[in-house]
Amino acid sequence: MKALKHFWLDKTNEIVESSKSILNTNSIYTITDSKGIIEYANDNFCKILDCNVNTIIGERHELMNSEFQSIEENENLWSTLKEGEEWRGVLTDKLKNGESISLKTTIFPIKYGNQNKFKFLSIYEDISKCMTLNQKIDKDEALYKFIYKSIKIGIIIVTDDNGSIIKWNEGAEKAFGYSEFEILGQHFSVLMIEKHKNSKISDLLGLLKRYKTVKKSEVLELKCLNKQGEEFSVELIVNKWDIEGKRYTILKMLDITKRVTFQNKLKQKTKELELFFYRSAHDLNAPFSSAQGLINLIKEEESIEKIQILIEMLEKTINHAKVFSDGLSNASLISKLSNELKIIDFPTLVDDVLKMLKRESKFENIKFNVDIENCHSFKSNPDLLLVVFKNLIQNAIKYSYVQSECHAPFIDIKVTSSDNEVVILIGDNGKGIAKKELNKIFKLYYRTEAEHCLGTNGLGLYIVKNIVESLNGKIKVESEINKGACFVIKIPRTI
Amino acid sequence: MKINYMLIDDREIDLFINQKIIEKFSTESNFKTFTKAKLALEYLDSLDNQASLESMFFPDIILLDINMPEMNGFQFLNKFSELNSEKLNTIKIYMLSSTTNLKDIIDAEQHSACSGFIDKPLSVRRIQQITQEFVLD
Repeated sequence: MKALKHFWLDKTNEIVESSKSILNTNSIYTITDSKGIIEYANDNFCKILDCNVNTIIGERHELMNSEFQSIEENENLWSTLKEGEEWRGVLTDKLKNGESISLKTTIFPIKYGNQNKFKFLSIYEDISKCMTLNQKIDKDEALYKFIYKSIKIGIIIVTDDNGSIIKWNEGAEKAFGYSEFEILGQHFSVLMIEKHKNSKISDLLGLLKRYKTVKKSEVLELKCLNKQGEEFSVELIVNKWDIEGKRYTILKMLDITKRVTFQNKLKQKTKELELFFYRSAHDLNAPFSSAQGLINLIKEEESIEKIQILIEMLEKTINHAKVFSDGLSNASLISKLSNELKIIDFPTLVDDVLKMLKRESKFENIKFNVDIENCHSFKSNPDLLLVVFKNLIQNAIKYSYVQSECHAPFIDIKVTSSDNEVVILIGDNGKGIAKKELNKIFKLYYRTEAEHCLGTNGLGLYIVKNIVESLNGKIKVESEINKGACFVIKIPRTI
Repeated sequence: MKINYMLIDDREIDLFINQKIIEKFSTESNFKTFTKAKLALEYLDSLDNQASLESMFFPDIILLDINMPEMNGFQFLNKFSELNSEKLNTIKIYMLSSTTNLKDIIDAEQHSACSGFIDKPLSVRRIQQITQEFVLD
């Protein structure tokens, strides 16, 4: 017996001999003393553990004391054995090559002598292959489960053949607002908008097919309904699969609300920009054409008085062009919105604006009621705010009524502040804006009927609105014809 | 020859210039000017419903600006076409604009109600040409 090492304990020898008669040649077994020191190991054991018999005899049985066993398991093993009971379980260890080995083990305590002396006969069955496979499946499953559960941006819904929801991930919960408990068992069509309310899975697949042929896209874009009854846009992929004769459908969706909103905003901005270019090109050209026409007339005119009139008209035309180019340079300011924010000194800002507007006609006769609250270091873009104030105050001046015995024109300029926002109010008792025009005045190149002859560029309020929006603020206007207009701007404080 | 011109332009200076240019070559012309296309259209509509046109200003040629607030030149042309009036059919409408937008020029040339496109500023030579076209027709 090659596996036998230096000394033979009588008992061990006996046990080995008797074991041989019980166990067949394929068996794997060891004999250890009561402390777990290996006294005998058969060839099969050495082969499996990839070790030389000479190096393990007299050593502690690593499997029985393995660090890969949990402490509880180890204690259980020894307490069982000490009571003279046989122990069954799986022992694992790592081989030299790094692979782990699992042995289904039965340990028999064999009592000898009069005292409570034991030797242990351990019989093993190598179940490593089957264990690793199981572990791998467990691991994979855990991994997929983790991935599936943790996909918060993606919506994954699994339905059975009837379309009833049987799986519901966190992304779905987040997007639709139903908890897993609420939704499981419900038909998937509760998530669809009215148009698709009676859809079956087959309808979805049909829709997808049409989409594929028409739009050459594998992904369906449609609207869904959340728990609150709000619609939102998703991209949808539908897959089917069969397990053990049962058919399942998996709906994978991506909430594209943000993208769609962004796309729409972009479309709107592109439209505005196109109009802007179109109108700007025209409005830049128009005064030049007029000037050219006037000059042609001047050239052929002989009467000095008539020439004088034409020159006055030329001057007016040039002023008009100036108003327009001012508007354009203001407009270009918006796109240059720098991120550098400064503490706004509202009193100085309003003062500067009033100085700028001093030469406007009617300015002298208007009473300006400036009321500015301390805004506690409100930070914003001073250049842009200047444009806002200038445009609104300029408009208020432009549409003021001339001072008379029964009319004293005034303009209120008020700034108030709270913890989270600053409110700017510019009000007047001027001509006001007709109700039907109120929602149009912020449009690009919109001119009211009254503005028609005032030489305005149709850019002012459009620019103001864009600036306010770029500062995440809101602008509102209230007005009544002949009673005046009041613009209120709310700008949130930035953190 | 006496020609009736209707001028539609939101810019009063341009209305003035155009009228002066036309007067340079034909002193006998009559004018009716509008700063709003909508009012011009209403006027034309009223002509259409009139039993007798006597003592009414009936335009032979309309010079129409393109870029105007509320109702622009193209909107005017469309509305004018919708009137679908035989009486008004004889009127020649020209679009007059300082636009550099090629699409506007092409759209003007191709519009069934529009007889052609004229660059601003209007020149004596061009208005002569147009008036002759009208007379020959």
